[in-house]
Amino acid sequence: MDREVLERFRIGDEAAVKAVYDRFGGPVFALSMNILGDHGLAADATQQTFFKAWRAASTYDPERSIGPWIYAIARRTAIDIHRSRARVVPSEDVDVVVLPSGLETAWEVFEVRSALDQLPDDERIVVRMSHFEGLTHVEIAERLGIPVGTVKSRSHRAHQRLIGLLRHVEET
Amino acid sequence: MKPEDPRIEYLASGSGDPEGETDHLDLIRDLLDQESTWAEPPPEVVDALMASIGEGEPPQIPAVKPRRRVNWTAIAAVLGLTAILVAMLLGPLSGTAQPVPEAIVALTGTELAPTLEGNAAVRPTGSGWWIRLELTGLPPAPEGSYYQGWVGNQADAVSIGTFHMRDGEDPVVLWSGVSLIDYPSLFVTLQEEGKGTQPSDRVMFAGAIEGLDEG
Repeated sequence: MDREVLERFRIGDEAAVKAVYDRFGGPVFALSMNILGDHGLAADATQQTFFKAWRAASTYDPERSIGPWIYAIARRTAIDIHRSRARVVPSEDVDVVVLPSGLETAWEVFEVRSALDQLPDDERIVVRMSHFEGLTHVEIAERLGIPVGTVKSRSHRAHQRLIGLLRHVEET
Repeated sequence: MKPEDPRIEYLASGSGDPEGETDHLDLIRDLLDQESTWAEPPPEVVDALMASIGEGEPPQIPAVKPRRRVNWTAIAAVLGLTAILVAMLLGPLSGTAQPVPEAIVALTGTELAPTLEGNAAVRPTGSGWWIRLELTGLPPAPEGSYYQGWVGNQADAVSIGTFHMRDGEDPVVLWSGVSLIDYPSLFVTLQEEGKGTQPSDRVMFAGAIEGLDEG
């Protein structure tokens, strides 16, 4: 994100918070859905995440990437919401709560969604139709009213971008 | 002509030969197929967020604030009433003459450290109480400031050492010269250099030391 926006975010500027939300609202919601599995809870988690981020903005270092910082708040918020709703089984000296299975891929979901949100709209829709909706290139072409060759080239470019954007996920 | 990257075809359709990276690409393909990856937050989320920001207290920008002895309001918000009850129940127990087993204390971040996760291992030694903090998500202390650990009860707080976290998240070892049975609240504040030795009101995280006894 733009350094100037991040500097303004750090001092609590509302427009900068909105800009950070516009960039990371999707990844945070996707992560929250992955962990909580419920639209309402995920919406609560998303709102709480950005409110906490705003409240803690003065501790954010603009020299560092803001994505992992937002991710950490979102993950913690979703876990807290999960715990508050989970049945707590007290043992001798610890509280036992079964963590949600979606936690294991939380970082990857956040990063994949973040990468998808950086694709041009015409490429993103092709990826969505192909993967999420399971359509063939011919079906996508019919749906969008464009040549099959255009669908193929957009799909190719989109996946090429995704591989580039997600290279660091592979390394973690 | 540059050869085609086989990973693109594999990611797009699952076919092709990407030579070894299939686990990574399979995970990405699975996530691309998954509903939660594409889920959109309802529009009212951002409206509610901006409204709550408009109504909420602004972020705490680093600034010189009047000294306080101990911000028990912030600490109590983190610890709840548990630590107070423990302190009342234990009463003025006398030191650590008998061996006390090592205990693990869960630490909870305040709004100043919302990503913090961690715990403290504590145990008595012949020279004082050894306290080891394992922390993730605590930002480095800004230049000109530092973190200071404290143990306290309803009447007093005693410093147990300082640290900064500027070069990583190595465990932090602190020492207390007072009994953690008598001082059952553990908390860490952000302090400014040259601003005195009392705990600031910028509490970063805290934990309640429970379950210690003299036997």
